Amino acid sequence: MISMLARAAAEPLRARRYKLDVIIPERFSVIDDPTGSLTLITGFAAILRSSSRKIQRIFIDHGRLREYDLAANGLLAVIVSDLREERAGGRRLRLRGRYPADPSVRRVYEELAITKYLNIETVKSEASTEPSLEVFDVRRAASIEPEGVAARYHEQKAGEFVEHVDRCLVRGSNRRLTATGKLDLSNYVAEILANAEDHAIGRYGHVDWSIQGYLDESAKPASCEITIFNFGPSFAQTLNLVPRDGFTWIEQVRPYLDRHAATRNNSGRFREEELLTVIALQGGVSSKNDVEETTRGQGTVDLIRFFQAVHAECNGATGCGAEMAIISGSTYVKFDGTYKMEGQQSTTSVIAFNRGNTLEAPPDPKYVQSLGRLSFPGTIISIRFPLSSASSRLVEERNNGGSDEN
Amino acid sequence: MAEVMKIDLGNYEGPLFTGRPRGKAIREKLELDKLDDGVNTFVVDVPQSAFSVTSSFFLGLFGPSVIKAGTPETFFNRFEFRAPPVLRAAFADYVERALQGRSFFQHM
Repeated sequence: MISMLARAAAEPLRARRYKLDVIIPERFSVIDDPTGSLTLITGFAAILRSSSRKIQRIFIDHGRLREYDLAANGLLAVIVSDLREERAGGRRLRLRGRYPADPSVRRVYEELAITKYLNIETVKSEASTEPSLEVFDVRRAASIEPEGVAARYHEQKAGEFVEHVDRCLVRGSNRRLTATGKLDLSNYVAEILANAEDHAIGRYGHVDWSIQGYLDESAKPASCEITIFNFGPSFAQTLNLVPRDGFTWIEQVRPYLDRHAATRNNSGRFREEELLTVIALQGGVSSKNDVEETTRGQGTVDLIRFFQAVHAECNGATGCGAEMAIISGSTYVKFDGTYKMEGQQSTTSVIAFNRGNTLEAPPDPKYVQSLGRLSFPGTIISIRFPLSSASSRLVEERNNGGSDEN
Repeated sequence: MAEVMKIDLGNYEGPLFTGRPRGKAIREKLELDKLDDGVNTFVVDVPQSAFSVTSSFFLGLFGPSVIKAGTPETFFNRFEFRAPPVLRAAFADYVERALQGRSFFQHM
C-alpha cells in the first residue's frame, strides 16, 4: 500500500540523512483541503520508498493542527502501520510525535491510531471532565473471501459500526438510532464496503479497505464523522473497463463524454476521468450492467441519499456543517447540500452537480474537480455531520417508543 | 397448481443483510429462478431483529423476480413480505428504483 501511495505522489517529502520530520499543517483534511493533504500523504509514502534513503527516525509533528479529518489521519496511520510491519525484525525504526497544541483537537487525537504508533507521552488534564471518544477503526487487507450465503467480514463490520454508533449515543446522551437511522446508516456503510470488495476482487484478488468513525457527544452540536477508504481501481478506472458495445457505455457513459469532454472549466477542460466519476455516481450505473434490464447500480443512490438525509436534519440550512467528499483517483467531488440527487420522470436518480440537475449540462467545476498530478490509488469517502440534540428521523430519546419501531 | 412458498431470512445470519453476491447466493440456494414461474407466490419472513436489508442484497435475491414481474404491484402480489415497517418501506423503494429506466439522454 505504501508503494501504491508513493506512485501517486507528485513529489516526495524531504528527509535529512536518516531522519524525517513530517510537519502536519494547520489544516490537514481530505474534505477541506484534498490537494494539500494528499500532497503530504503521498509525499510521505514516496520518501519512504525512495531507494536513496533508509529512514530510521520519523517525527510527526501535529503541533500546529487545528482543522482535521479522519481520512487524512487515517491514511497517515495506515502508512505508519505498514512501515512498522515491514521493518519488524529488520532495520531499526524510531517513531515519535507531538500532539496538537489545540486542546479540542488534541482530545480527538488522543484516541486516534496514529497517536498510538508515535509513543507520545499522554498527560490527561485532571480538570478535564469531557468523556473520551471511542473511535471505531477496522482495516481489512487480505485475500478475497469466497462468496456464499454466510455474511462476509465487511458485512459483519458494517453491522458492528452501526452498533458502535448506537452505543455511543446511549452512553453520551441516553439516545439511540431510530429504526430508520439504523437502516440508513447501515445501508451507507455496507454499500461502500461492498463496492470496495466487489470491484477490487476481479482485478486484484486482494482487498484493502479501512473504516473509521466516531461520535462526539461533547461537541456543540454533537457530531459524527465516518471515513471509508479502499485501495484499488478508482470509479473512473472501473467504468472505463466496461465493454464498448454494452448498454452502460453506449447509453450512459459515451453520451455524457461526448457532450462535455470539450467543456471548459477552471483547469482548462474536464478530463474524461472527472466525467466518468460523475456518471459512476448516478443511479442505475454499474460497470456490471451489460443490458438495460438489470437491477445493479443502486449503491451510490443509498450513500448519497444518506448524506441528503443528514443534511436535511439541519433543516437544509447552508453552513449546517454536514459535508461529504469523494476522492477517487484524481477526481474530487464535494457534497454540501448545494446539489441534490433526485429521481427524474420515469428514470433513475440523477445528481448532475448543476443548477438544472441535468446531465445534458456539465457539472459545476467547484464541486467536481481534478486534483491534477495528484491522485489517490483507490477511493476515499468521508462524511461528517452534526447530530440534532432533539429527536429526529435518525436519532431519538431512549425512552421514546418511536414511531417506526420494529 | 400454484403454491405459496415460504422464504425465511431467519435461516441466515443477520441482523444485517447486505451484499449483492450474498443475495444472489441465497437465490441460487433457494432455486428461486426455477420456483418463480409466475404462478407460485411467496411469503418472505424477515426477522424482527433485522435492522438492515440493503438494496444490493435485496436485488441480488429478488432482482430477477422484480424484472420478471415488471411492475411493483405484480411483484408484491407475488411476494408478500412480513418485515418491520421500516424495511417494508425500503423494499418498496428498492423495487421502484430497480424498475426505473436507465437511459439519461435523448439520442442526438
